[in-house]
Amino acid sequence: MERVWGYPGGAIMPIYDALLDSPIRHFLTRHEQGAGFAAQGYARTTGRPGVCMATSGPGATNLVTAIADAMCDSVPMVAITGQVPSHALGTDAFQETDVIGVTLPIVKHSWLAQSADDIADIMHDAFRIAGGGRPGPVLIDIPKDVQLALTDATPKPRLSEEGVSVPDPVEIEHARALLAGARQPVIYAGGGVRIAEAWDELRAFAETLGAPIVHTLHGLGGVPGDHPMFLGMLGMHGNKAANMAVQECDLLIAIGARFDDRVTGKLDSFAPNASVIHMDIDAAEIGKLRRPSAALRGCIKRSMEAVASPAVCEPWCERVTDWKREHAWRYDAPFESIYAPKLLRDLCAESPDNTYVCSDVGQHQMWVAQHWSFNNPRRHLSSGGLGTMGFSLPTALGVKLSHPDATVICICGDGSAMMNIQELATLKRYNIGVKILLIDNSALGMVRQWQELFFDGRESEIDLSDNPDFAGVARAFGLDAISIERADQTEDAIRAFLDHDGPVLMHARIDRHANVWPLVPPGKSNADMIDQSEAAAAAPA
Amino acid sequence: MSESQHASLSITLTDNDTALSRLLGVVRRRGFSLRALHASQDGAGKLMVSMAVESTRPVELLVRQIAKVIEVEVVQVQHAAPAVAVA
Repeated sequence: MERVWGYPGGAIMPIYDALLDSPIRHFLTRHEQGAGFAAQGYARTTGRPGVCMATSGPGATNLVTAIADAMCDSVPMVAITGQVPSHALGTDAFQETDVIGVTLPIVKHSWLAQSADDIADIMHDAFRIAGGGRPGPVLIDIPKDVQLALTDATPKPRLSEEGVSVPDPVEIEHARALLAGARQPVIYAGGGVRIAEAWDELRAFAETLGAPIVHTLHGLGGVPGDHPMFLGMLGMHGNKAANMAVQECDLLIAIGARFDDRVTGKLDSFAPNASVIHMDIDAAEIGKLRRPSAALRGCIKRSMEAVASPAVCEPWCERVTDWKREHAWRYDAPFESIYAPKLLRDLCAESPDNTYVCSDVGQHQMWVAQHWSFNNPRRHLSSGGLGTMGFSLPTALGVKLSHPDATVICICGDGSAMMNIQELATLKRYNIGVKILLIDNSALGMVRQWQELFFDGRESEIDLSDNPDFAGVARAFGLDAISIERADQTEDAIRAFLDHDGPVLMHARIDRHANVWPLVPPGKSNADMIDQSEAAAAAPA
Repeated sequence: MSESQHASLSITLTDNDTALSRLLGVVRRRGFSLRALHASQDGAGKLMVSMAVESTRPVELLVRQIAKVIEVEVVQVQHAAPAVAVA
């Protein structure tokens, strides 16, 4: 552990005092949630546990959203909280909250340290559990008297690391037989590819099979975005060709994916004619939502190596390639205003290959997923499971501190920007060169879109037309800022944005009524995906 | 709607202050209703739990989630059968 993110307070003061004499570098965020997400930025891009710290009571509860987010997205994280002294536990003492109880459903494990003698072993176990198997967050709650106590206890001998789990040979044979009999296979790869660092193996697997591949939000970059067999993201806002291929396939090979409802749409009509091979490290995910014909629980690298063989599917590949061509994204919208998908496509094209993109939650998140071409899943950070607005800025600062030579772009909306905007002060304090693209439609755009499409256009509490001047806000925090509102300004602005040394915010105004297309209406099958023209034709005159 | 199932489980856990809370939280959160519960310490640092649960979901899904609780050492299904309606 080289660096931690946190925020001090009364019940964690002994630890902060000890930090002064420690080689560990601490970064002060301006809210505990920011510390949690900054730790995620480190963890999501290195695969190693990120560490955040907070005091008891409100400090601890302010970490909760970041912990829940890490649980949903399988991010290794160690959260350390101060707690009131042991003798005061359970007395409703000042700033006492049962954070162990609060976080029970959203951690892999947690500890209330009862003795200083236990701390070394707890720390060892915490990092082992957070990063092992399917990763996730853990929490260590340390009463103040335990922090102050002296100990000469040494850690117990390290447990041997968990071995690589090998899938069942019988299931491997089932999988190989299914693949041999398939004529329309599709590979459906998710965030497990990033976690297992299995992108090279995935590409080799896909190329050996010669089968088309689709990605979940967290799988993006598993194979490069320009790979000829990559059809795009599947699901609610995926590419239509990807969804069509999954709906028509006769064999679905799920790799590190969990049949999330945003992916499947109406579950019982998802890939209705397909047998399923499911490869996953987590036994609890296999059969949770879709019963597989072959269940390969264990290391996905081993599973892919064991199953890989050429598939007989040339006519099928020709069909899906036609669909891919037919449903390719278009960027020829004849507008004077900025068309966000084109802005993102152009920014992607001009950005260095090693760019990390932290997107927030909302319409812009889906546009990033659709229009940014990723070549590695660790380059794309997004709150996929919990869908936490406010994710992107603190996560991006954690990424940039962990990879100071890389370009790090935070992409947020005007709603999500305001959720953790205090972290602009953290960028300034440490001169963290994050580039922020704020796409402003003066509304909570995704909610507005759903109200337009599914609630008869009745807009309820989505108007943000009284937003502050975001460029002025950035300057008030000491950052440089660029503002654009016309399509003809984007080329120069992108150049200035990327060339800027140090933190910078680019404020891009877009049309309030821009929607994310295509989409699968809620509760519908992915086969019912509609695009803009279909939605317009179906709308009442 | 699937038919509701009863199941009896026996679970051995490493005993600590949060183990039972963690276990019961998993049962509730994964869509199972607790119908009976017995827990006792074995005097050697283990907590022996017997429970009856009911759900429309397959009990195997619960077993796999329980197995992920760090304190759980053994989880076994003792009995599973369709729930009997009580008038």
